[in-house]
Amino acid sequence: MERLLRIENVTQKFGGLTALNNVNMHVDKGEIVGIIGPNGSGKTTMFNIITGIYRPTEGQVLYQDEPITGMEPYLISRKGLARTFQNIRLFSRMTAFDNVVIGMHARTKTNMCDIVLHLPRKRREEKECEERAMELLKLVDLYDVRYELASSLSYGHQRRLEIARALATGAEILLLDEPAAGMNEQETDELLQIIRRIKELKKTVILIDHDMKFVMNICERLYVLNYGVLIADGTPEEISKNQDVIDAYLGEDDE
Amino acid sequence: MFLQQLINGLTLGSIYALIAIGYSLVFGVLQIVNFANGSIYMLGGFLTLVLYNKFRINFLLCFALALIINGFVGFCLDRFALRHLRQKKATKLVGLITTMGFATVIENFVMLFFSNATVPYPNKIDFGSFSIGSAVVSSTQVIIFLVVLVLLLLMSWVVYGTKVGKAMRAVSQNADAAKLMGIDVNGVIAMTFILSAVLAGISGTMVGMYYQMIDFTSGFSIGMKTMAAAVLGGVGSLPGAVTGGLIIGVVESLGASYISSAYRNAFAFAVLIIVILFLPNGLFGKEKVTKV
Amino acid sequence: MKMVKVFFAKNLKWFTILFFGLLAVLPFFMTSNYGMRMLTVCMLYVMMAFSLNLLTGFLGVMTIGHIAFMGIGAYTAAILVKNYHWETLPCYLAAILLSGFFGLLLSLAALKLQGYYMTILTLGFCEIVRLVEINWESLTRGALGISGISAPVFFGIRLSSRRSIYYLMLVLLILTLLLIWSIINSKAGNAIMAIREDELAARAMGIHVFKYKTIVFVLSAMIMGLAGAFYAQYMTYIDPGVFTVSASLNILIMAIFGGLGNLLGTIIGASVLTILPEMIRFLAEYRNLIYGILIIILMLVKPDGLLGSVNFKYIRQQASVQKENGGE
Repeated sequence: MERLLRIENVTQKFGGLTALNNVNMHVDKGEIVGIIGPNGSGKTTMFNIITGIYRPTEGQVLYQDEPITGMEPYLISRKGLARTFQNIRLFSRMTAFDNVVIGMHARTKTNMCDIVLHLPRKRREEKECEERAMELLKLVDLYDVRYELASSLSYGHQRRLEIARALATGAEILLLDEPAAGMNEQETDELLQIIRRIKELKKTVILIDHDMKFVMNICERLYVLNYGVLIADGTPEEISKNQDVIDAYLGEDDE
Repeated sequence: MFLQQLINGLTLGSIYALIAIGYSLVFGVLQIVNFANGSIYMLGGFLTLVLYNKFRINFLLCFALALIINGFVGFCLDRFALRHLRQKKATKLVGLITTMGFATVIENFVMLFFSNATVPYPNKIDFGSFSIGSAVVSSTQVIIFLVVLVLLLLMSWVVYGTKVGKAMRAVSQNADAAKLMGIDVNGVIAMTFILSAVLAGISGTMVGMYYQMIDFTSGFSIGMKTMAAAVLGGVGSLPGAVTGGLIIGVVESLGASYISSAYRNAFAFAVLIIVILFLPNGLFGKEKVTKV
Repeated sequence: MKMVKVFFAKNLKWFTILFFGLLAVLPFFMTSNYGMRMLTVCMLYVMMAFSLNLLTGFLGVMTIGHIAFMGIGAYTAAILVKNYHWETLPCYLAAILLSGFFGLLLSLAALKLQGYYMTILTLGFCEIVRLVEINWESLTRGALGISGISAPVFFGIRLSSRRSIYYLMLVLLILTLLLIWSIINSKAGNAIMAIREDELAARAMGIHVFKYKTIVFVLSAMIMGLAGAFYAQYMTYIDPGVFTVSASLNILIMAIFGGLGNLLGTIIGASVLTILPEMIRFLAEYRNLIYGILIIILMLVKPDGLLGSVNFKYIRQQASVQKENGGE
């Protein structure tokens, strides 16, 4: 199995606060990996480090054996890592369709010259983008609302649109930050379906969530963070029996 | 010469600091730059003068009256314009343009109804001067300096030591949360506008006495320079505004005498650009950690 | 009403062509010199407001010193025409390049900053440029300004009639519109609007934010520079008093009044706000006071501007779905 992503001895400090302390993780191609832990345990911080929004104080991130630590987010995205956001960050005054098309930005070769002179490549690539965007919108069951403004979509739809937009970048690895947060049971089920479809596309998924049932259901392997420290990793079954994990969650009184 | 220019610069700078605080306070609670602040400063200076010339009564009384009117103008700017925009959830840009509209209105009002030329200003705090080495210090400068010092102490007491100040800081941290905690957000914002307008009015009167003249266009350049001072110090930071004001006053004074007086108004911005390039958040501004 | 809107949005291209066609034949029916002058000035302001709409409306970067680039363009053209007797085309080129160069310098510094820091920096830039214009007397003749700038000359042909100048302006305006239109209706336009909506998300989607910001900033500076070069030869006289922060704000207000992110709005907004001050000329010295009050009222009544909330592309897309579903 090909090892896609390695996180080696990553530590992140904000002033006096240590958000992550010497964390190691790895993700193989085609896996669905979950990162769980109580609030403030450093899950989103880890995503921010992987996607280049933060530069870790120590340690490094390797993608396909190449260090990407602290690289500009747009370059990391072009390498093949795309994410969604915990607090939805769609381009709200643009349609669902346009949001997905923007995801394809870096994959197209049209340049300013093509644009200003309206060279044939522009038209051709626009056509390709449109078709691909429609496919992706169908994949996440948003085809019917494709021309609605992102801000007018329901909460569950917005979360799915973020996934489609991330997929549009052509990413190998999708990082989903609490994709099921705030969803009702039916919406969560639909989300499960979509993530399965993504797995069928041979994509790799890393996800963060609070909903234990959801995480246990979908993830093949889990990492558990608590106060910035990795306290356990393994299959959902192993994790559910791990005493440290149980303590961490019971101590928090969280779900 | 150097000492003299330094003293002149500090006098000017202390007044800049006072106006810059107004920008910082308003920016703190509303996250908009109040472009009308420079005009309100000029209006304050004119009001004192006009009242004094009209009624020929005690200067201090006129001064106090002018400050009350000035505070009211600041209040109106918020109550009858910006508050409506907040309710409509208009973008910050619209608020900004509105304050610019106010600036135009105030300036043209003064030009039409007070004077469209440079007017002499009585200096009521001129009690002679004394010298330190080669430099001459006038009583005007000393008094300005002392008044500013007292006001700065007062302001820091208001902001850090009173309930109103606490509410102001709460609103600038998070207006929604402050509202939920029972803070009258609109009241706090109105209070902030009144405070900054009063500070601007005091500055306007003092500068009028210092230069012994005033004209309706003076608000614009002072407004821009003090805005630069507030940004230089770090928008929203009170110690930043004070430091920024002093730096810009001194640089302007020294630059005008040693380099070129023609570029007097450019020095403020030259310093600003240089500092901002190295410290993108200003001298005292905090770096924002991106929350994702 | 909705039908009209949809019809209009769908055929926007044709309406635009019709509109400019009308502008092109108008001089044959218009006899008044004053009217021709007003129209030419209107088009000049529309051109500059386009530039600011691209920058502020589509990219979301706010500057209040953009008129400095107009000044740079105007002085470049004026000096080259007057001292070196250049023809207009190379003058325009020089004006575009020089304003673009300064635009690049300023953007490299300013665009690294956030929000208001950047805005204030552009203000500072504008003041410094103006002071240089006032004080570099050997080059700019200082506050006296440069007078007697001769009319535009293209390939030996002098455009001295009002009508030919009108057509020159019309061509410049159409070129500007085509440029901006192409950009916003492309991948680059999507990227630019994405940056406006959420810069961080745009970066995470692989968009090189700084590159696009710089390109747009430089382009808009170039448009201002070109407008300045035209202005110099059109007025035959320039002085530093034209290129002030307030003038810069006025153009920004035009773009906002028309509606940020809507080019049709800019045409209407800039035209109305160019003509309005002329119409209230009878108010004499009360004019600016009334203008200020009008601006405040406009902002309070219509914070989005006239057409800021209208998105033609969205209306078109919506209409295409309805057609597919057989509705309406």
